[in-house]
Amino acid sequence: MFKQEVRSITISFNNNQAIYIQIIQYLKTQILSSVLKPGDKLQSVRELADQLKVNPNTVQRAYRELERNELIITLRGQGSYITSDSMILDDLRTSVVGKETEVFIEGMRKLGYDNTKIFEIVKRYLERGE
Amino acid sequence: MKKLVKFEIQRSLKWMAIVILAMLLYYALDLMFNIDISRLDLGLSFLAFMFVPPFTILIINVSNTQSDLMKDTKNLYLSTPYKIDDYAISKMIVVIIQYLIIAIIQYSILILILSEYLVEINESHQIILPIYIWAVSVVSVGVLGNMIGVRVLFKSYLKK
Amino acid sequence: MLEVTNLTKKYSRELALDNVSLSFQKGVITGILGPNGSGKTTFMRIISRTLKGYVGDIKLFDKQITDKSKEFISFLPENNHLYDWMSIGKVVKFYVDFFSDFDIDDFKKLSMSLGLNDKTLIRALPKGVLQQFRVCLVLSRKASIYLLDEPLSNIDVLAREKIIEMIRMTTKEENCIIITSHLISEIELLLDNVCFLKEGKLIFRGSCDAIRDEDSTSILNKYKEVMTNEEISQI
Repeated sequence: MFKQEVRSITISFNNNQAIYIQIIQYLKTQILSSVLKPGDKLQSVRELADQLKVNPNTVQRAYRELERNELIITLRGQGSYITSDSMILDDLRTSVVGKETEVFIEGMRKLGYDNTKIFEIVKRYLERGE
Repeated sequence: MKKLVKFEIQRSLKWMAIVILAMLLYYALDLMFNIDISRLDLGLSFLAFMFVPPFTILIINVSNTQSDLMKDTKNLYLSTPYKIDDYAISKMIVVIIQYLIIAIIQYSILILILSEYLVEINESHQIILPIYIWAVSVVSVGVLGNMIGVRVLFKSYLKK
Repeated sequence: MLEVTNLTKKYSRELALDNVSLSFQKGVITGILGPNGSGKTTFMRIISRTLKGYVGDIKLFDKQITDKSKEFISFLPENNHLYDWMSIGKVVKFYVDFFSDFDIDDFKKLSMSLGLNDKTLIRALPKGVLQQFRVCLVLSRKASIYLLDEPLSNIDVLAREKIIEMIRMTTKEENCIIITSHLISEIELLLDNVCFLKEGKLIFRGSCDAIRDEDSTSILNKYKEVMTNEEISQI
């Protein structure tokens, strides 16, 4: 079932990082949080550029990069679709989650915490939270 | 280039109308106050009638060309897809048209003013001819003046 | 699409442009940044053919640029270029008459929010409205090259955003947009490539993504860095 969702977002971009990379990250997050599901049709370059208010070339670049990583498939004259390949999607999840975790652990280490302490803190926060 | 000529004429229409009306006003005043032509009233008003119209056209054209080549509006005028020669030629065509119109009206009024006295003056041609020559010189100087003025402005633009 | 090689322009005493070489591809928005007097406006005026007397090679579509090329170039000069005495209706008619690529429907769409009255005279327009009007006119032409000299000057932030949006909507695969601006941080998201001019010389050029990627810095910061160090780098 191919459907196109119209999302209204205002994402503000960071001037210090390549815009196309930020767009890629934004799309990856949408995939992982199931806003964009496997097989979903992506907005056209122009549509996304208009929505995000960025240079269409930047969106083009982002799409190309995602294509290179096989996260999206572009069919001539039909548009771009999120892959349905569960292996690729799992890899994506692993790498994104891995990165987040690495960053977190780095941060905690910098504050002087060792593995056991990190474990405890995470457990405490998870238990008290939702 | 037709478009350039049309544009040039359209923007000078108001001024042309004022000059022509002024000349007609002069003729109307003449009818009312009866210039004594036997003394060949070459007074100030007559001189004004002869010289002011051509020089007004000269001033307007030079001023327009200045906006077209030197002021900020040059960026509009010169961004049109024409060559320098096209601009220069179109302006000269317009100058000639403007002068022809002014000259015809001037001469017509001149003849109307003088014809009242033609019956009285035997050597009428001896009076009319110099006036004609004079009028032609004024017009030629005016046309030449415009052409030279425009050419000078174009040349200085080219040098920049 | 547009190739500029060794462009030099000398006024009687000073060198406005000193051996500048740049190339502009299709579908790309390039920003030319630099302080006052760095040669940005001179550059724009030369490409638009409103200024001559230069030395160097300019090629458009692989052919020497001529006056006929003006058919494909839409130029927005820094200062108001419209005749004061004209009405809005007359100005639009001028564009329709003289530029065969002027799209009146596009113009109506772009200028809708301005609420323009055909009879208003140019001299009666407030600065901000006049600027937006001029931008609408220039962007309503279906040109191959758009030259926008300081399109954001002298207007309030909301109008600036509208103009940036208009430029963003104009960019297409078939055209190339060149913008000069003082307001770097507002415009940098729009740009694909940038070049920095200082005292007529090209002291830096690069792609915005590469700058952000490699130096983790914004274009604005890169500009500040380069302008004070005068490093010559090329990406």
